[in-house]
Amino acid sequence: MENNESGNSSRRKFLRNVSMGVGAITVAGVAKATIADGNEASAKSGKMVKLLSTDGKLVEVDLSDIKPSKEIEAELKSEAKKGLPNRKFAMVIDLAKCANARACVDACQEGHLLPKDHEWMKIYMLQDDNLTSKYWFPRPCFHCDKPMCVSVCPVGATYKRQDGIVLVDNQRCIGCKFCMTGCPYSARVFNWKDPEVEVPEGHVYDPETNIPAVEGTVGKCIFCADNLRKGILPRCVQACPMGVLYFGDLLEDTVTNGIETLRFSKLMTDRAGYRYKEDLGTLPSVYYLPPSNREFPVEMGLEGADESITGRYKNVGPR
Amino acid sequence: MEADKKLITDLTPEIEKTSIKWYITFFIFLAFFVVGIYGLIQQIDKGHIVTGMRDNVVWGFYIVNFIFFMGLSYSGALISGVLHLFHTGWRKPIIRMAELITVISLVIGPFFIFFCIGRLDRLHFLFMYPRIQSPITWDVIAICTDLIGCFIYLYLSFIEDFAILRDYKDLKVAPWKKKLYEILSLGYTGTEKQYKILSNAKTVMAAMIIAIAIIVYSVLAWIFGVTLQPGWHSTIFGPYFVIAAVFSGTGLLIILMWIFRKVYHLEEYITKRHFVNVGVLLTVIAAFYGYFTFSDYLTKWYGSIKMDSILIDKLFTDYYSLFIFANYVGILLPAIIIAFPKFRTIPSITVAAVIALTALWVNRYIIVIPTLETPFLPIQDVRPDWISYAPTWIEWALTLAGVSVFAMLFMLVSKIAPIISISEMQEKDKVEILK
Amino acid sequence: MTVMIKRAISISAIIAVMQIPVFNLYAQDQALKDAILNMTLTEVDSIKTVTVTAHTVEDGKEVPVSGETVSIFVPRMFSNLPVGELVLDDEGTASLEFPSDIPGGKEGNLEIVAAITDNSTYGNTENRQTIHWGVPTDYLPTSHRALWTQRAPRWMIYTLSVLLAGVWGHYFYAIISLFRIKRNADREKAKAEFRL
Repeated sequence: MENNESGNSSRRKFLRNVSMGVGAITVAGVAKATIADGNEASAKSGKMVKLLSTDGKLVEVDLSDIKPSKEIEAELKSEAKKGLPNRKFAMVIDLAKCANARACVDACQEGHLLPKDHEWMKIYMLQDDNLTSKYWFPRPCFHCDKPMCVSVCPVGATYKRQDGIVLVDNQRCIGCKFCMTGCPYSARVFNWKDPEVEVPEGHVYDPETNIPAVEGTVGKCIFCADNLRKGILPRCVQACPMGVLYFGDLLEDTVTNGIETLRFSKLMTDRAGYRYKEDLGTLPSVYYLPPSNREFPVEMGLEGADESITGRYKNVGPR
Repeated sequence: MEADKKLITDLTPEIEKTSIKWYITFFIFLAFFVVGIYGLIQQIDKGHIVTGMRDNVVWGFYIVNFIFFMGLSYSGALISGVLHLFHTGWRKPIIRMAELITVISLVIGPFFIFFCIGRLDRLHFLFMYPRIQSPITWDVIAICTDLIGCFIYLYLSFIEDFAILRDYKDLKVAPWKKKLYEILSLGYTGTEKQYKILSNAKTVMAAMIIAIAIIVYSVLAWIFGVTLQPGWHSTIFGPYFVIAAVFSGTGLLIILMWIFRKVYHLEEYITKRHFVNVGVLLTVIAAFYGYFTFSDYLTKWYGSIKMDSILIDKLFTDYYSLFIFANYVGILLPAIIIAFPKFRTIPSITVAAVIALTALWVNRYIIVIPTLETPFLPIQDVRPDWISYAPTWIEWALTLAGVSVFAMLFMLVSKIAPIISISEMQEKDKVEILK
Repeated sequence: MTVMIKRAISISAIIAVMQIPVFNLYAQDQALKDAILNMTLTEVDSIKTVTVTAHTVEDGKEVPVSGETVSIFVPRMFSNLPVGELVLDDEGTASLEFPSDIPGGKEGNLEIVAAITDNSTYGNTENRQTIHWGVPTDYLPTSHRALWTQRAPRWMIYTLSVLLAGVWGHYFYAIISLFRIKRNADREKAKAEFRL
């Protein structure tokens, strides 16, 4: 039975410890791994380092117990390639509720240290036909089950893992951009110039966060694989103020948008869920709920937005 | 090896001395090359943002040039490969030129790929971590194989000429060149056994070159054909690209025939008959090329598939003049000039070839870029350079640099080996003896 | 003076009495009653029923809790999947039918939770049980050979090998021919020199 009081004090302790050093946080996960690995009989250097473990405790570790970053990187990459066992992630996007708030775009850019013109989650305004209505269309990467982008990559820099997520390895990508022409949904972006990202010190590259963006390589939405490993929802799902984005594990038949939790199969049946351009056959992992029984007009999404955003939708019409 | 004295004196002067005109031309091309290198340095320093490529049109001038130069390499396969197997006599003076076009354009083409790659420092990953499911891997393997094959074939065809030059006592060239001829001719003296070995090797390689050239160009076509993009997802792309390649290679051959004939005074060897014959070849291929183009666009236009209609619409509005030039003017004008005997003169056939070659470059452009400008999800952006593709000076500079390198390499080779194969010109006698 | 003292006493008495309800409320806030929540899971003729009962212990006697809401849910990866909300009747019990089509783990095990949350009287209390009531879901990701997997389809490997072997085989033939020419030429040269 958790009392609010004890919660507050442990949170305060945590925040105090965080101020001890940002760089320590990333090494802390490593420290946990290396300490948990068991005691290797290596010569202790005697040099002690203060680190923050992932459950908020301050630990002192001998410097020799910390593995070199190349080894850590290789471990992170192989874990990233395997993915989470017995999971099949999917996203459901409720087009009836989207109002172009762009909180998802901002949260994604913040969380992955992206430059402002890189949109892994992109919001389109579509209109299928002259007589049908316009609607807002958020588009993350679809993490297809038959991904064209993975098929055409010549060096294996992008891959699909067992939990369905398609990742990009920034350090393997040669920037040929074949995957960008292979993706029919324009889900990938390219780093045309130095993204000038400030990376925290001691950060080790992990494809599950894909930080930092590297010049001359490709980036895309990765369903926040780092969050999923910790059992937290992707950043866009958490940020959406309208509850548009639902996320979950199809094997559990459950999706949630942070506010309500529903059974995926029931959602599909009740709301007639579908996938975008199903007949392309790429089998996306993102489902859409049609914009019926809208709660507010489409134009609401253009109010109060910057010209660089509203200007995008000037020529929206049926294609 | 002995050779007709007249042949040698006519075909070797360029090897012996270099004119001022040669130097001036060479340095003009070198200047273009240097400008291109400067542009490349800018690109490596500042990133690909200095080009016109953006998130939707991710492939621009560089890929167009790559396909174009690879296509030129087909001329050698056709002239020396196919015609070799058919033992056509009139092709003898132009064989060497055709083979040189093949090898040189094969060397230049891949460089345009390098310009397009975002991380040049990781190029070796293509060889360390190849995925054979990827059309780019097929392309890497095919191009490497083609390069090696063409080099072998070129060398095989040089051996006899090197032997002739080695044995020609009055050759006034620098000692290093003489030594070069001696080493490279492998001591060939034209005995029956040696001739037979060489001839068999050439026949085998000729067949291989034809096969490899078809494979290379088909693989290049499939890089586009296997994607889902409207305009690229066409089943005709394999054969279409092969035909277009032969077309461009033949066009370039005519142009080079005209240039070398003028500059090296080879009027006696490259006659109007050659121009007419290669011109007729050009017309026949133009007919095939026109047929494939028409077939492709007719089926796209007739059907109601939305993405095809949007693309056709774009081609007939934004790209109208380019489309007409590439697919109508580029095919009909050369065909008319060459089909009517009244219009056939050496200059007119050369003009037809120039039109055909330019039209083919434009054809590659309108295959690659309009498709990328009409993706399934519409481009919704405010920045004009992200909506449509506009090449920058760097891309133009590097294109010119590629052409310049082509010219420079050709000029350099003409200083070492005769531009018309002396041994081929004599071969008629040998063949009759063996028969 | 007695009047002042009397007034002081009465005022303080009034104030003291006034405090009593406040004390009472405060006492109520502080002392949340401990409710004991029991959950029984029964399956009869493949109809699964979840029955909950709640009671508090007062003076050694079990007093049923009635009128409070108990939520039944299945914990999932990111949140809890609600199954139903029950209101306890006068005897402090309630039950619902548990659906048979909720996917469980590989063995079909589900964790079912009955909980009273943020209740003003009873605070938070819950009862967790794991039972074999889920649909077994075994997910084997594609390990077959495909265009997008690590291992390529066999026919691709075979075709590529055959083509490469064929072409490069011919190249070797041509290169060997070069060596044969050289050898022959050297022999001829030696013969010519010998004759001299």
